[in-house]
Amino acid sequence: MKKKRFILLAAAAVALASCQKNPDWDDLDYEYLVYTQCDTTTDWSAHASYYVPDSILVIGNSEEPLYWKDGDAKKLVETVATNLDARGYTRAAAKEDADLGVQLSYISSTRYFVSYPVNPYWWWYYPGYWSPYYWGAWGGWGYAYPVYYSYSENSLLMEMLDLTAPTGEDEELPVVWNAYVNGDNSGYRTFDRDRMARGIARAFEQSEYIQK
Amino acid sequence: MKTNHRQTIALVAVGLLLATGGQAQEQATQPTRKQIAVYDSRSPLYERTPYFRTFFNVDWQLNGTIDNDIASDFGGWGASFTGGYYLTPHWGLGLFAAYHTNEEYVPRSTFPWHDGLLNTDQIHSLYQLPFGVTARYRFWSGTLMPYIGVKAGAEYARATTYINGDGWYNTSWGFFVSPEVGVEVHPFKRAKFGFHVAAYYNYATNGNTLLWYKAEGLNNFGVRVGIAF
Repeated sequence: MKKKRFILLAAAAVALASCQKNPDWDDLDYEYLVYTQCDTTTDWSAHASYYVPDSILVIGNSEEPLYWKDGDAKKLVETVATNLDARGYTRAAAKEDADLGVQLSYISSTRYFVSYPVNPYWWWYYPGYWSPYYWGAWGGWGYAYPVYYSYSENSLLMEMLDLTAPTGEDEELPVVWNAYVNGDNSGYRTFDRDRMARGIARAFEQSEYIQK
Repeated sequence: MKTNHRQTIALVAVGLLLATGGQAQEQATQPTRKQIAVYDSRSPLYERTPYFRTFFNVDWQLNGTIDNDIASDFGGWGASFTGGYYLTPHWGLGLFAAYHTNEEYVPRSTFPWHDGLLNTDQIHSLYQLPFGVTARYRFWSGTLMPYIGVKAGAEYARATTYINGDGWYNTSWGFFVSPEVGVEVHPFKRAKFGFHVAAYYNYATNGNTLLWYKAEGLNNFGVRVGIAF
């Protein structure tokens, strides 16, 4: 009988290692995570206008660029525009007339992703990603700061570009601000769109330095 | 004449010493009725003063963290297992293991993180698993068996923050010590089964750094309620 007690006690002790309580996910507010970074040397007041395409690039299963253009995409684009307008910038009708460019990318799948390269900006080489040529005569991309996060599905990436930087085949188009909005996909399109829009607004709220 | 008196006194003293020593030895070899009761279950006195050479406690545990940057919480997701043997009617030695999870919801806010700003809400979880040896002093035996004790050993701890459906965690090991005061209640005359209540404080040397949260050393207090057998 004593031997049985000791065996039971030992078995209980072994089981203890797996007795950590799982969190109650219902405690979370189900809003999206927002992360922002910027080039701290940017003079935001030196810029007056911006251009944002009316569609969102989709990074997914296709090697060719796909664009998200429906009503949900328009709502997200308009949320970006509303926030920049409120900060004193003017929306330009053409990208050639703008000081700042804003490109939006939505990650629906990381199918082609193989491994993290030494350069952390893996999405530059992702099939169908934005080309710097879209914005003008720049030869590549330039980030002035390291990026500390990795992308996952159902993420919105916002990148703000300095279109007043010198152009040329050997010149890089600088990214002066980026924001990452991510969360689970609930399966309810309107709910997820509204959460993404609130995430965009939150990204600007925590970027008070973006001000004309 | 004086010398004879001293010799006589010395002889008497030696005689008295030998006599009392013999009596003491005689007392040591002849147990008292109480001692018979505590050691011999065949004694009719055993039923009124049960004495258990072994102790086992299985308890539900309520644990609260003290001054903890990771999870400030008082909650009941934990248990404790203790077992041992009384080497004397009062002193016992044994082993123990316990576990507990304290959780805290951190509302949405914006944090500096890696040269940027992160906005999110979180669930913090602190899981502690101490184990080791225990020593216990039982004041008396009977229906109520109050005791004081101490536990010492090692502790494994895992601090986790759950963000956006993912978890980031950090594990650590440290030394553990815990004073405790408690009582076993054995209301059944012929059964060893009873109940156990104890209050404790414990300290572990684990250092936990999780994102921008730090907990150098873990302090806890709590209560255990369970069964004794």
